[in-house]
Amino acid sequence: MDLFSPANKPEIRIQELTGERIRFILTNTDLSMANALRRIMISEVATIAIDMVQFDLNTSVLADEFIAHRLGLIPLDSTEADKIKYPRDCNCSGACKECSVELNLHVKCTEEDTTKDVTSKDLVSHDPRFTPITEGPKDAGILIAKLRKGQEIKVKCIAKKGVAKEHAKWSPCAAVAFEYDPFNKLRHTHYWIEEDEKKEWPQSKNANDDFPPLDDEIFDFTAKPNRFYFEIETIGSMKPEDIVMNAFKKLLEKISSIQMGLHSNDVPINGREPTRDVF
Amino acid sequence: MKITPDTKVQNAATFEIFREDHTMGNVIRHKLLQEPQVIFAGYKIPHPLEHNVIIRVQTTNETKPEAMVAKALNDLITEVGYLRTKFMVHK
Repeated sequence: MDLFSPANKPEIRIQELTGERIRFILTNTDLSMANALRRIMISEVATIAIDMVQFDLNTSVLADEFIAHRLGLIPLDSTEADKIKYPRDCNCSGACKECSVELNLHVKCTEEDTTKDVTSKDLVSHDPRFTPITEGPKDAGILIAKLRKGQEIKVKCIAKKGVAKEHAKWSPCAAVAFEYDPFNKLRHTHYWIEEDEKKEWPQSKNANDDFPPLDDEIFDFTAKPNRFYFEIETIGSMKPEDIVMNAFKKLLEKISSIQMGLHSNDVPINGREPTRDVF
Repeated sequence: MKITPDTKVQNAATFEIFREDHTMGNVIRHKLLQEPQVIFAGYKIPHPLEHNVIIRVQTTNETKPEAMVAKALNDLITEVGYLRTKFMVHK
C-alpha cells in the first residue's frame, strides 16, 4: 500500500480539549488502527492504583475487604506513572520505592453526635508525585467510610503500577466513545423503525463533522470507513492528551516487540534452519 | 513468536504471537490484506484463557510470508509514528 501518497496521509484533528476530556477525528486510516487505539486506551495505558492493603485497625462497621476494594478504586495521580517500574520488572522481593508507593490512612472519630467521613483526602502518600487526585481545595474528596464515635481505621496501602487488562481500577478512562459513519452510508447497522428513519432516530453530534448523503446517492458497497470520531473522558488520574500519547507509545512498543520476535526467528534454532517441506 | 511453515501449502505459514490479543492480531491482518502479494491473511485466538494470537499468511511465489509480515510491521510503525507526531503537533 502506498501509505504516504498525499491522498491517504493519516490525519488527526483535535476538536475539543479540556482538563478531563478530548474529542478528536482520526482520518485516512483504517478501522483496525482506530480500534487498536481505542482498545489500548481502555485497557493498556498504565496507571497507579492501590493494590495491597494491610489493616492495622478497623473498628468501623465495614468489612476489611470492602474497604480494601474501595481504596483500590481511588484514582491516584498517574501523570508520572512511566517513572515507576512494574512490580514484575523490579528486582526487589516485595515492594520497594522503585516499583510501589506507600499510602497511609489513620482516622478516628472523636465527635459525639455526628459521624466522621473518611475520604481520599485522609490518605497520606509517601511520594508527592503519586497522591489521590482532588479538584481544588473545595473538593471534599472521595468517601471511603463513615465512622461513629470511638471507631477507628488504620491501614497501610501499597500502590502499584498496572494496566486495566488486569483490573479495571488501573483504567485511566471513564469512557471512550468511538463512532464512524454517523449517517450509516456504509450500512454497517440497521435502524429499527416504525415509519420514518429520519424522524425516529436522532442524529449523532458527529454528524455535523461528516458529509451527509445526497438524496439520490447510490450505495457504494466497496466503500470503507475512514473517518473515526473519538471522545475520551478521563477519571482524573491522567490528562486526556497524555492518555492518547501513551496509547500511541504503547502501540509502537507492541509492534516493535513483535518485530523483535520475528527477527529472533531469523537465527536458526539449535543451529539448523527450520525445515520447510515443499511438495 | 513461533513461526510454523505450512507442510502442504507453498508460501504459507502460521505465526503464533504470545501475550497479544485482537488489538495486534486485527491490525496486522488488516495491513497484510492491503498487500497485493498476500493471497490469504487471517487471525484467530484459539482459546480465551490462552493469551496467544495465531496469524496465518499465504503469499504469492514472489515473496515469503515472513517478509510480508515484516513489511506489515514496518508499515504499521511508520503509520503509528506519523500519527503520533501529528497528534503532538496539534496538541
